[in-house]
Amino acid sequence: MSQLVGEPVQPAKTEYKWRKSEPAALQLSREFAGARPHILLIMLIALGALLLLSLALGSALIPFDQIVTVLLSGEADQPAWTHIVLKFRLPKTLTAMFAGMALGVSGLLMQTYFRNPLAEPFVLGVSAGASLGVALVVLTTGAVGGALLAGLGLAGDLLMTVAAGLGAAMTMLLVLLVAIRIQSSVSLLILGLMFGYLVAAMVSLLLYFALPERIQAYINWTFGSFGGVTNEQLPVLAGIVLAGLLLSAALTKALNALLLGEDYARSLGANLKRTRIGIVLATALLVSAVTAFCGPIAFIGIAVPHLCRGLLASADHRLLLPGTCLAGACVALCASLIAELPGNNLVLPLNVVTALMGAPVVMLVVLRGARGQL
Amino acid sequence: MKATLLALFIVFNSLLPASALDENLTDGCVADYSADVDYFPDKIEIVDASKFTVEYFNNYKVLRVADAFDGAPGFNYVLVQCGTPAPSPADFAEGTQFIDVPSGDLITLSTTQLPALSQLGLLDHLAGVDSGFYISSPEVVRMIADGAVAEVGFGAEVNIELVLELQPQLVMSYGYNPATDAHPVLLEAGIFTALDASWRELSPLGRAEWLKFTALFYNLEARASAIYQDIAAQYEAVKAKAAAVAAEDRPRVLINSFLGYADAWFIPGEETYVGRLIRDAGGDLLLAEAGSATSQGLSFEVAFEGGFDADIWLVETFGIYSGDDLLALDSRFGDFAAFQSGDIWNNNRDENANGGNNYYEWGVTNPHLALADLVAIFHPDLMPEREFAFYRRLASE
Repeated sequence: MSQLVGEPVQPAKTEYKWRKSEPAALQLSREFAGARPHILLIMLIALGALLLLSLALGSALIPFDQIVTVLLSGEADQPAWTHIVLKFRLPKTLTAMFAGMALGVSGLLMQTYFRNPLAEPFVLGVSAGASLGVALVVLTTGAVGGALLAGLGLAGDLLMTVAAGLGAAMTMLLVLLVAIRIQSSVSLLILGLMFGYLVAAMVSLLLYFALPERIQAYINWTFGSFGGVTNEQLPVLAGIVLAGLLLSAALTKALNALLLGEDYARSLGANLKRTRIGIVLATALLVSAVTAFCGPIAFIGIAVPHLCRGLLASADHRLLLPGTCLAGACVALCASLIAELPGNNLVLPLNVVTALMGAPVVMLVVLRGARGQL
Repeated sequence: MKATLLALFIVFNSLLPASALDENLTDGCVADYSADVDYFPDKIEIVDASKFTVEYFNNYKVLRVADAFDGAPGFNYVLVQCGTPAPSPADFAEGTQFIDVPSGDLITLSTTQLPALSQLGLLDHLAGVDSGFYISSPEVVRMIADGAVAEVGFGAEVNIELVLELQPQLVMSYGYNPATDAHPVLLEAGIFTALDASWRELSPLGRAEWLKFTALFYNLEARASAIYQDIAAQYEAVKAKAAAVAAEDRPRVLINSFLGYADAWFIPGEETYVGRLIRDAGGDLLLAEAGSATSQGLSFEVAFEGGFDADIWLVETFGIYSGDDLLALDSRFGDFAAFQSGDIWNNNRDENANGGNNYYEWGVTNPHLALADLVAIFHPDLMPEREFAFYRRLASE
């Protein structure tokens, strides 16, 4: 019970009012009543539309019928177009989709586990941990010529991902260790931020002693991009993300139980230790793959779970998990489309767009929380 | 006795009339100043550079540097012939710095300033450099190893205590961002700091002409003018060769360096330094903005659409030595026509052990070498015997 007292950490729209007289399972089912699972279908349709849109729109202007021709394994009128659709837009679109899914779900896992509406990989310093792993690889190994996922070939990709994963898992573990002792969400957030700063300081130290060109490569990476993944690299990214998603799916029941606090989760038969390990592993897999391939992408992780809870009107992870998957993919594709500024030659850094889209959601959550407290 | 001295003085003076100096004093000071003497019979004339001007007076010259960085104020320097009275600071804009010339020891903060020193024979005056890490000049590298030249920082980040200890008469710096540049700190410490704006010049010859800027501080106008004239003549000769090529024989050239964030390509505009070099070498720059003196960031998609069938691809990127290096960066680079025909080049033939590229050192004051390299790449028949100075073909092993 003690965990439920203290900071109000309810996700937006859903209030968990604990009534002592009722059994936990009954309460959960009450909480999950009134959900709107049909929204999932709408999300699926939206995802389909966005996937098509992402293939159709880009800096280069290619007529839609040409895109369809190429997708139906034909040749476009101009050879460059075939190439652009198959080797640029297709991997970019799929990368955005997988990255969005991974970030959305990892945000959900962390928000539920920490019972903190602001928890997400970026805020709690987990992305920073992954960054440290990447910085170590990029700035110290022979990654050549401003190449980031390069120079070492596929082995390099895996090395980067493993380094990012270790960094992410280490930070996640640290945050977890602290979370066991400290229940206050504000304290946890502050500690997460401090972890982030500490890691950033270590990265700065590495940067200080690194060659300028390597620094440039690292800085480019921090801007975030879905466009750097080629068709050869895509299976690695997709494989790791799918593994993380499957693991998350296996945790659904335990995550639902966790909504009521660790004590009640235990009383409902959840194996807390295994759940905790599962969450750390899943988050590390999801965050590290995305961070290594696309850079530390901010705000998708925090915004998407809130968006889903609102849209689905539910805190049930059986709905939220597919929901954050779909919505994450949609949001990432939207961000990617906006960053590309279709019809314009320029591209914006991805993180600028995700911040512009995500920061208002965070502000909304904070303002709602503040109103609830007053 | 007094009368004899006076007579001698008159005789001496009549032997040395006001126009007596027939060359600048490159060593030592004036012992007997006369206001009527033109102490700088050798003067420079600025032909191609546009960021600095000089105005000559009998015993001092006023040097002005404009547009040293974005939003830079004008920087004014009064170079006074040593041994003659300096003009009153009240007559000049606030912040004007005064220095006696010929100057003594100097510290350079950019590798691009070193070639002028060796061309003008001034390396003996070099007391310090920012860092030897990227320096190509074998003489300077040796001087650093021998301890004759100190290292005082990295780029415009200098260790001010080391600089003060060396007591240089002159520091050659450059401006980039006043918040982090060295010059405000150096000026605060009372050290004469000249701002080198050569990197802002858009014309290759204009950038090379900054050798005259260095020469002004040592009264070496005559030598600088001769060297520059020679470089300019060679540049024009190569350019004339390429200009004779028919329009349809000019190759379509893609040039980029991967300096943007992940999928942005930075493509120089037509009027940039690089854009002008390509044009003068008889190439047509692809994707370049007409009339633009800046680079623009393009998405990879657009760069591919416009550049995939380029005849020649100049990959001006650090650390790329082969086609395989390029493929490791992104496998999609292999789909460019120039990649498949093997016409991909990088300007890093002449690098030091740390990757310091002489193209950005010796090449800056000797643009005719870079131009001749480019002509040999674009029109091999015009220069069949060319031994490349800076460019290398990126062969796939």
